[in-house]
Amino acid sequence: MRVAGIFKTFPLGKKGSVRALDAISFDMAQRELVAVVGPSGCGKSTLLRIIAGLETPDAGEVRIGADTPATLTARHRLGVAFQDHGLLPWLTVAGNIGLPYRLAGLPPDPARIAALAGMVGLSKFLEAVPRQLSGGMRQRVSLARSIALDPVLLLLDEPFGALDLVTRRTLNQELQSLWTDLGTTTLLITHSVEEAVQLADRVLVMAARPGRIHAEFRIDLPRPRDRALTNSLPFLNLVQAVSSSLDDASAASGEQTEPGA
Amino acid sequence: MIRQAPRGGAPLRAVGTLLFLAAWEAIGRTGLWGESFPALSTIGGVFVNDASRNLLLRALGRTAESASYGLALGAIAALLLASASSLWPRLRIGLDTLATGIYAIPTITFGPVFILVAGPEATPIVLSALSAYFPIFVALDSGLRFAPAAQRDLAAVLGASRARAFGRVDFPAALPAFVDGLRLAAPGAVLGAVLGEWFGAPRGLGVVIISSLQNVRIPQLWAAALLCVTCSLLAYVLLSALHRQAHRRYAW
Repeated sequence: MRVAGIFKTFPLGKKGSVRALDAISFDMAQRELVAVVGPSGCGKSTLLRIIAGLETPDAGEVRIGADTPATLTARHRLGVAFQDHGLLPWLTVAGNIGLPYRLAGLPPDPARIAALAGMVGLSKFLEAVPRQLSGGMRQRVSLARSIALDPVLLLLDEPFGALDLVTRRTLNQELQSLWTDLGTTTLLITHSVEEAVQLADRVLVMAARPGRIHAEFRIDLPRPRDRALTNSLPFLNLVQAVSSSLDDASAASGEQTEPGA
Repeated sequence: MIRQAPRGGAPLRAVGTLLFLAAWEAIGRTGLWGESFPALSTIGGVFVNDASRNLLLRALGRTAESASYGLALGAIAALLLASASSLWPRLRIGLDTLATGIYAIPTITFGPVFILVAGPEATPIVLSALSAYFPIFVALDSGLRFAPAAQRDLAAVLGASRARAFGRVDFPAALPAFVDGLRLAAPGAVLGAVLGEWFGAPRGLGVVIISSLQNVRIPQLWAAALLCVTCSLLAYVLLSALHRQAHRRYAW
């Protein structure tokens, strides 16, 4: 995937406008998992929404292989999981995981749906409705749904952001093999530096106002990154380095409100 | 979100209702507000008489039937308008204006016209539908417009066509709002049916109300009016139960 020279400005009514993204450019290799961290309001989610085709950039372009976000969406090959799981309360777990099939006009594949539920540890809950599940289980359903149609690109926008720390760590431990086994090119937006270092091949640090790439870290730690590794010195050093860069990015964040005409 | 009544409210409601009924009975018996305000027991006496009871129950059946057809027609019209507005957003302003414009017409002024155009039998249904469709349209339209953003984004990212997103996500998510609209429209549907009966329908509570007034049958007039209220309340209560069910199943 290539993100090239993305600019995005949002109007603020009579107060002018705010530049959300400023010349964002980066590439992602096939099967790579890139995490984006940054202070609140740095435009991480806007960037993800542009890559998902939910927002249009003022300038620049996104290419996923030969596809644009629009053409990839039309081919039903984009996967996404948001912080708000977006499960449909009237559908069962199986129905929610199989929703992409229905929305794409394809017949659901019960064997694939059962396999996906198994991959996220919900085999016994196929007939449960979301109301009967915990927050962590709902996010597992959301993740299984995001990969149902075997996406070319997977976008994860703070998928564990609303969960407590313990559930979040457990899910990261349990599900990291899922990402490596799938080998789907994945962009993860997160607030958590530990989560980014644990899951990603590369971490991009963004600065705010305007949102821009501040630093980049390659994570060459071996996989699987289990509890022992996340307590090891190399891991902690990387977390420290990314955190320091994040602090620098926060300090470097300026006010970029442009006056109205 | 459905707000639950505070616990322990039922006995208080029962006491309040009993006090209200007792006050009504006392005012009627003492003649405090004149002969046109009979006691509840006098109104209830109308139902003891076989002929009066049969007349009122037949009229109630007719009005309930007209109101039910009117509510159903209003719901279909609201469903079509709101769905078209959601599926073809360019039509939204025009459809909103049409829906509001029709509702803004005072139906009472067009009652005689409907008698001529639709006939006396169908006029109660037409006026009932005209009274009912707007609250349903407004509720469903809001439900469709303000579907949860995460669900809407998901459908967009998954490349769902507008029709599929509507059928699989938007409309089921808006069902509680649709039933809420039905609940709010039900009393209006009864009112519309009674109004239509006033303009010359052969049967119904509206006809009984007019004839009782002309013949100064005060207790029968009150009995017919109270049956209208009961009919409205019953529809509201039944649809409120349906709304709770829809909310439980289709909303968070």
